[in-house]
Formats: sequence, C-alpha cells, structure tokens
Amino acid sequence: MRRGLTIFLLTIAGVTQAQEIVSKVMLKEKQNQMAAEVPKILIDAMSRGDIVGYYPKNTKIPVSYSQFLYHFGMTERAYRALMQTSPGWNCETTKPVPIDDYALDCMEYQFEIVEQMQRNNVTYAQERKMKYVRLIFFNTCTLDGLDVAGPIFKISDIGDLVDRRYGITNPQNSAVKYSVLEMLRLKLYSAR
Amino acid sequence: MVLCSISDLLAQNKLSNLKSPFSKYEVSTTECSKIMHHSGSLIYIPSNAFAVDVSKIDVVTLLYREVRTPSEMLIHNINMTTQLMGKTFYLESNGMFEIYCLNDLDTVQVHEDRSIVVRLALPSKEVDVTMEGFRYNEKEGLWDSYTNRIQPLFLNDKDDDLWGSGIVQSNAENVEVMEPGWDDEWVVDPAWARQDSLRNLAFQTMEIFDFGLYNYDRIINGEEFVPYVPQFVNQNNDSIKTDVYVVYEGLNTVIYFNEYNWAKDFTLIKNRKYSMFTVDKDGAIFKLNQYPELTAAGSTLTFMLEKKADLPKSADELSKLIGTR
Repeated sequence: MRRGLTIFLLTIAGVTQAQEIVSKVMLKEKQNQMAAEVPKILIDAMSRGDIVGYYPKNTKIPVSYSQFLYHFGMTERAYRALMQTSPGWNCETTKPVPIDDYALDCMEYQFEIVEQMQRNNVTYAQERKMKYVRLIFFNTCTLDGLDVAGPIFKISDIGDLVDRRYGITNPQNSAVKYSVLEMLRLKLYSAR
Repeated sequence: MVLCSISDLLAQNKLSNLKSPFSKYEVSTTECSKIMHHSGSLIYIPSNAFAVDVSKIDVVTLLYREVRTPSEMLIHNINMTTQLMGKTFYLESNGMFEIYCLNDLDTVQVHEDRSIVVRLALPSKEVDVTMEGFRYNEKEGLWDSYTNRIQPLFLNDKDDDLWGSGIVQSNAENVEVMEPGWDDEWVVDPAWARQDSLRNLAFQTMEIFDFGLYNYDRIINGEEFVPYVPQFVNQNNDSIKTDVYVVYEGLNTVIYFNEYNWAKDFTLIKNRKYSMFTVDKDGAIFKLNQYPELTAAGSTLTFMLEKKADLPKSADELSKLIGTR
C-alpha cells in the first residue's frame, strides 16, 4: 500500500522526480577488472578539465576539481589545482594535479551507476536509462567507517571522453580498448 | 587634478621612503611563465606576451608589488576616489597590485594580442564578490573603472549539504604529501612561505592588457556621509595646512582632504568609528585624540591633531600609529 502511494506521488511530481535505480559495481571482484579503471579515468579527466563533475546531492551544480580534492582531505593539492586552473590561455607546461594515491585507492573499491525509469516515447513502455556514475570513497578509508559519496559524472559527458588516454584495456585482448561509455553500455561489468 | 601644497609634497617625500620595493622577476619573452609572488599571488604570462623584438630580446624584467592597507595607500600616495557621472565617490579596496616591465632601462608594454592574468591572494574570509576592477589614473590622481570581470577563486567550506557529508576525515596519515618538483613550472619568489601561504587562501583574478596600478575594490555606498565645516589645529592651536586623512573602522580605505577642498567637501560617515591624522613636512604623525561631538550636518567642528610620533620607519609602524590594521 505504501509502495503504491509512493509511486503515485512520484508520478504526480512529474519527470523531475523520476524514480532512480542505483546499482553498485564492486571493483575488487575479478569480473570487474575493466570497470576498476573507471574511477581513475574519470578523476584524471576531471583534473584535466575534460569532464565536469557534479555534487552528489545536486546534480545541477558542478564541483571543481580543486573543491573535490579539498573535500576529500587533500588540502595542499586542492590549492595547487586552484592555481592550475586555466586563466584563459593554455601553457604547454601546465600539468594537472594528480589525486593522492591513497585517496584514489579508496575510490577504487566501488562506484554506483544511477539509472532512471523513463517511458519510451515509441513503445510507451517503462525502461531504465543510465543517467550518471557516482564515485564512492570506501568505508574502510574513513574514520567513521561510512561510505562517502564522491562526485557524479553524467553519462552524456562520459560519452565525450573519446581520447585514447581515457580508454579501458580489454584484459582478454590488450590490443582492444573500450571507452568508458562503451564499457557501460555493453555492460562489461557486474553490478548488484 | 589633485592640488597639493608644498608641505604636502615634502610630507609625501618623507613617506615615500617607506614604499614597498618592487619584486623583480626575469621572464622569457617567448615562453609562458607563471610567477608566485611572496604574498601567494599568482601572475600568468602567456608566450610572446611583450611588445619587444623576440629575435633580439630573450628575457625581460617584470616588476610587481602589492598595496593592501590604508597606511600603504597613504605611503604610495594613492587617492581612493573615482568619478562617476561627474560626481566623486570613495572606494574601498580589497587589494591592489602594481605591475610594470623593463628591458634594461626601457619600459616594455604588453603585446597588443596578449593579456596577463593576475590572481591576487587574499584570505578566504575576505573574498567579496561585489569587488570590481579599477585602474589608477596617475594624471588625475583617481581611479578609472576598468572591469567588472573579477573572478574569485577559493575553496568553499560551506558545501557539505551538496556533498551529503562533511570534509572527509581519512585514515591516511600522509595524504597531503606532494611529489618533489610539483612547482617546477613556477617562478617562485624565495620569500614565499609555502606551508603558511597555502592555507585558507583565495584568489581574485584580473586580466590586464596594459601595465599600471590596478585595484580590486568597490564604491562605498550604503553609508551616510555627513558634511561639516572643519578647522584643523595642532596642540598649540596653530592651523594645520597639510593633508588630513580619515580612516574608518571596517573600511579598507583612506580618505584625503586638503586645504583647497575641505571647506566644501569634508564629510564623515555617520555612526562609524574613525581615526584622523596628518603628516607634517618632516614626516611626523599628528593624530586626533579628543573626538569632537558630531553635531548637526553643516556645522563647524574643530579637530585638534596632536603629535603622536616622528616619521615612522615602516608601513606597519605607521599602521599602529594611526590605529589601522
């Protein structure tokens, strides 16, 4: 009864309140060897300004790379990244500020894929549409033992990461590289 | 044009000895340079940034210094006013920088196709998004409006709701350690104290196309300026003819009055604490100790400025004498 009421309320709230389905991708599992590269790729792309990250609680507000570093305790790197933000011209020598190895490791335990239920305009059937990836700072790395949500990356933005540096190597065939979007669309991962 | 008496010029000469020196940075004429000043401020110089023949001149000298406090404004003889629609307005500063370029003794201009970006460092709590850019007009002795494109860059402590968590307390003991050489691409002022400067720092940016004196500031409004007819005397009841300066609590500015304008232009801001002083021809500081009751607007008030000290030895000493930060 309560569930029916919830769905009803979601329906009258309109499309902005579409139901979200969250899947966890556990990256230390063997079948997720390729997916395990995703956090590093997304963070690296964010550090280079090639992708925009958003706050996990408000997916309309971008979060800067320096603010991300700051939130996860990397104060000195955060200021360095603030200094490196382009003032409107590019110097060839500008180097991105890498995330701390320990913090990166903490981001490589799991991430979440968030989908929304949408009605197909042709078939009128409800279908799941992948909306974004949410990084997770894993609970074994925090003092209170709780997971902490990291930045989210919109699937539409992830599709723009076509540079070879952002490719994921196929462990079965090292000559083949997938983009992050291809890896997600082809569901080359296991989620729960 | 600002009128000055002979005694003002003499006083100004005395104070000018306290001016902060320019920092000098050798920069390439063809390659990008990034400079970190000892205050933590950053200067971004693109390739081929200067109007010089790069086939003959490899390196030029960039001169840079900052002016931040009312006493520094006074020492550098910077008048904190601007003209708008024929009216004079007072300005409050969030920091200034002065930048020039030399090739030996010749001044060098910014290349017409290039610009230089200055990010003035300031404590995060002093970031003010209402600040605008002004450029000093040396000839007129006032500020000209330059740009409203001032971008504040800072790390925000108030976004916990957007993250859904507070700043993460990690188990890592040394999560902060940076690899050696991280600042290789920067020309770092040796006086810059890395550990101190990095903390709680924000930047306000300005893009410039010419060298000169620039200011991040805003017009003081929302205050009531009450006019009075002032008389300034020393402790011997002799009339004071040198410039009189007023500094207000909570406003980073210094307001000048001289004998040519104080009869018709003198005002005090209502309900705001102030200090008032003058500098005689020898550089001695005379300060108001007994504050007269501020009677009705337009009334005549006598301000007795008593000798406080001889010529100070530094801007900090001057700040302490006049009671500003």
